[in-house]
Amino acid sequence: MFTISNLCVAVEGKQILSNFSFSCLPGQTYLFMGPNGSGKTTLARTIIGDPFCVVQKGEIFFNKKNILDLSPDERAKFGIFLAFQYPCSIPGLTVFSFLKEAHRARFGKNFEVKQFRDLLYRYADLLKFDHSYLFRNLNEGFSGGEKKRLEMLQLLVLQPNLVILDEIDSGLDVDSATVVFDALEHARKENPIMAVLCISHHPHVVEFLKPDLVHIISDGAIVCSGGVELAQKVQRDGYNGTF
Amino acid sequence: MELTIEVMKKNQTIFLDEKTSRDVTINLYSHSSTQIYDTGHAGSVTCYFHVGSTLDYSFFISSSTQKKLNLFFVGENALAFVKGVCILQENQNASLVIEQNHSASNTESVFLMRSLLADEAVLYQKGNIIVLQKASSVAASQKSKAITLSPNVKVQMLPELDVRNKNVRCLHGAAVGSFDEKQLFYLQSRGVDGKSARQLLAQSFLTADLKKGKGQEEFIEMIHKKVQELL
Amino acid sequence: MGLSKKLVTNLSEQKNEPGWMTDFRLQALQLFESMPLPSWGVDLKKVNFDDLTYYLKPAEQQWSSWSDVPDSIKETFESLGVPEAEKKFLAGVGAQYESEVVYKNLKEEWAKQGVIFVDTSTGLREHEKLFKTYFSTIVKPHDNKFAALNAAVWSGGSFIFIPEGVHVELPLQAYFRINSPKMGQFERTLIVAAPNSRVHYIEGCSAPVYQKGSLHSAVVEVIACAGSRVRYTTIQNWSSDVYNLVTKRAVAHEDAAVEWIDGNFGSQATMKYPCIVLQGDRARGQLISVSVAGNGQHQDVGGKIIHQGKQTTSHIISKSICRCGGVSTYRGLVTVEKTAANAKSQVQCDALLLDSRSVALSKPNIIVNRHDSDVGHEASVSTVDEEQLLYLQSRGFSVQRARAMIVNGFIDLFVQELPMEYAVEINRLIALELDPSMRFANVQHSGRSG
Repeated sequence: MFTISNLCVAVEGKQILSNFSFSCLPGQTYLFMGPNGSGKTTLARTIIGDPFCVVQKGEIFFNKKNILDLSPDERAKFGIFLAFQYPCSIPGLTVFSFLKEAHRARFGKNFEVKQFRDLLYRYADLLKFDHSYLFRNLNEGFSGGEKKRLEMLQLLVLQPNLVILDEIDSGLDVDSATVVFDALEHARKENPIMAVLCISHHPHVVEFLKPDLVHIISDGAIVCSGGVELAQKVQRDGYNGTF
Repeated sequence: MELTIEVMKKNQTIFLDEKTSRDVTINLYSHSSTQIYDTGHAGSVTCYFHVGSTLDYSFFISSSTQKKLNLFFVGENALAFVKGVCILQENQNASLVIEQNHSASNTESVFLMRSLLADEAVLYQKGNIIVLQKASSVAASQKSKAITLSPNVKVQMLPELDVRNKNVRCLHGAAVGSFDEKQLFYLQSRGVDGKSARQLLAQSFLTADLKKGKGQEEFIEMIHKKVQELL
Repeated sequence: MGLSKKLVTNLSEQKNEPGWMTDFRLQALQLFESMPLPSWGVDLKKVNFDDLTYYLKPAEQQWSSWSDVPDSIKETFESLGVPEAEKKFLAGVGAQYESEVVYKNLKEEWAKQGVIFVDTSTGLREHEKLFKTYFSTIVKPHDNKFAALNAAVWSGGSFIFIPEGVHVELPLQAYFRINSPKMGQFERTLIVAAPNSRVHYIEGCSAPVYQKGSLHSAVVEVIACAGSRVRYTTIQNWSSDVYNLVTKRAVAHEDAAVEWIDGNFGSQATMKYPCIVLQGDRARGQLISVSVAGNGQHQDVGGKIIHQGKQTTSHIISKSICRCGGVSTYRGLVTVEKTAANAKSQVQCDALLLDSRSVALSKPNIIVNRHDSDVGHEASVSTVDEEQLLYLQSRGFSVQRARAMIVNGFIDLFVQELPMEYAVEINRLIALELDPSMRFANVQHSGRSG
């Protein structure tokens, strides 16, 4: 479904990803861990098409199409979703207007305002968002945790097939983390072929997420892989003690 | 009378005061770093910033004066941090004109000014940030705050901008007001009498931007003393 | 005919004006001729005063049929979604049948309440005493060269009087004055709001106004008596050869509130600084303005607020967008005079530069002559944030759409103040300005709250 082959990426002249290769199957969950600076966020942003992440070599195939040829919005419409580590705010643009239009861009059909509102309220309830948040400006005045929950709200609305979560758990208290990962489960039930790439440098994320495979990234490439016990090893021995 | 200073090395310190020549030109050559303490220079100070040079400039105005400060960023990656404190009383009259002129990319300038005005004092402050078309990734800001203590004080601020390159972050802030009643009340509720509360607030307001470091302490002392005299 | 005493006298005669008005015009003409052009602001060297047409009969200002209207104008109306009737009216075709019925009903309503809403010449003719009391008391001919010009050759505009205590709920719109041309070059508007009255006046349209005559020099005077509230909304999108020079001034008395909502699009050059004199105690003034400067355009706009009474408050929000080499200047003045105890003022002026050919200038002036004021000014210049663009693109929006959404968000504080139908038009206008290829796309407006 999704394959990265020998990807080399530089950011501001500095080599970040070196011959990075990875493939994933539909419906599976992958956990990417690694120390700070290992290239995890660069990986996420390269997949979505950040122009600052310069691809020097390699390919990324999603459903048999080389997405490196596509602009970020084309990749999004194709079904790729990135939950940003630090979502930015857009003054003057309400969450509601934004999501309604994004929904139309994704699915090509225009829901009636009332129909869409009901849908949005349902998802907002799942994420424990008071409905008033939907009429506030996008991420303006939102706390870190609220911004992460809003990323999840967008995920539920857009129903992507490939999800990349960039440090979704960082800065969240236990209650918020539960809400976020429960929402992820809900999204998976609504769309069983959805594949999830979760990036985190906190090993305890495994308490919320049940990955099928854990990859450790260091110096821009995968250095070792395993099951949940690999994450637990990192929790005990740190990254240095693991590889 | 003119004075030209060439700065070539790191960690240079320059002192300016009322006795210094009226027109001072300072060339900050590449990768040099300078600290300037200005305790009352009147006239113009013009600085040319070459590649990688940095400047930390603190000045204090406490008498009638006409001051001009021109910062020309001609080399990339240069940085200037200017902090000014002004205390005027009786019928003192001060005019301050500052220009931050960016013609090179990746340069940054910050100007912070805090003033305390009493009696019939008059303050005229004009600040101009200029970013030329060829200067990309420039960050330039000016923030001026004035606290006015008596009904006959006059303040005029003209914070101007002239920006011709889109990759900038330029900010201006100007504010004129009086002591924050809430802060005054808080101090008084902790047993500090009115006069001391005002002194404390004035001192902390005026020195808020000055880093605590060598040389800065004397500067801060001078400001504290002046506030005590005034209030 | 060029500008001359003869022209002015003829003008006055054609309108059947009383002698005092003819004299007033002639004195103003003398002043105009003796005053120099301003040495600041936009470049006015190309304006040839003798070459302009000073008085066009109503028929000459309009196309005689819809088929004569240029295609480019028709297309713009289509893309903006302007309703059929409004299209024809604004193009000056005069087929206003649909609006006539609406207008007739409103006219009866207003007559019952004692509201006067007529064009300026009718106001002078039918309400001379009232008119003369207020006319030219706020903007005198010697104020500036263009105020003098307007005083000499004014024609068209609105005269509005709201009696004491009357609240006019529905906005009064300039295009309701169907017995006079839609947008004259030298309009003179006078609004008098008696104590405790309320009115909202809207003029202009987001669709480009194609004018015969390249100088628009209007004067607007607003008197807000004690306890009244006047909101004046202008949206102007002049065609690209027009010089738009406007003097707008309001005086707010005790407990009165004046709001200027000003949208400036198009024109070759605009100079406009809506002014509010906060004369009475507890008077409030607000100015929200947006300007877009594109290729070859210079928008020199801003505002002036003068605090005179006690406990007066003012708020200015100015948003400018510059692209394709356009120049935008914010020129503002906030003065707290010696009599203005406990004044509060907040100014926020932001410029968005969409490329490095364009220029953003800001020339504010803050004068405070008291110790108990609370005056703040914040300005910024920035560009469309790359991160915001990527974020929106990652949610499926094309880069052009994303840019339009960010720019619309930038002026949202202005758009929020407009009646819904104008808000929709402004959003589309921005999208069109940024990406003319969207002209024929089915642009959906994303709507406000659900």
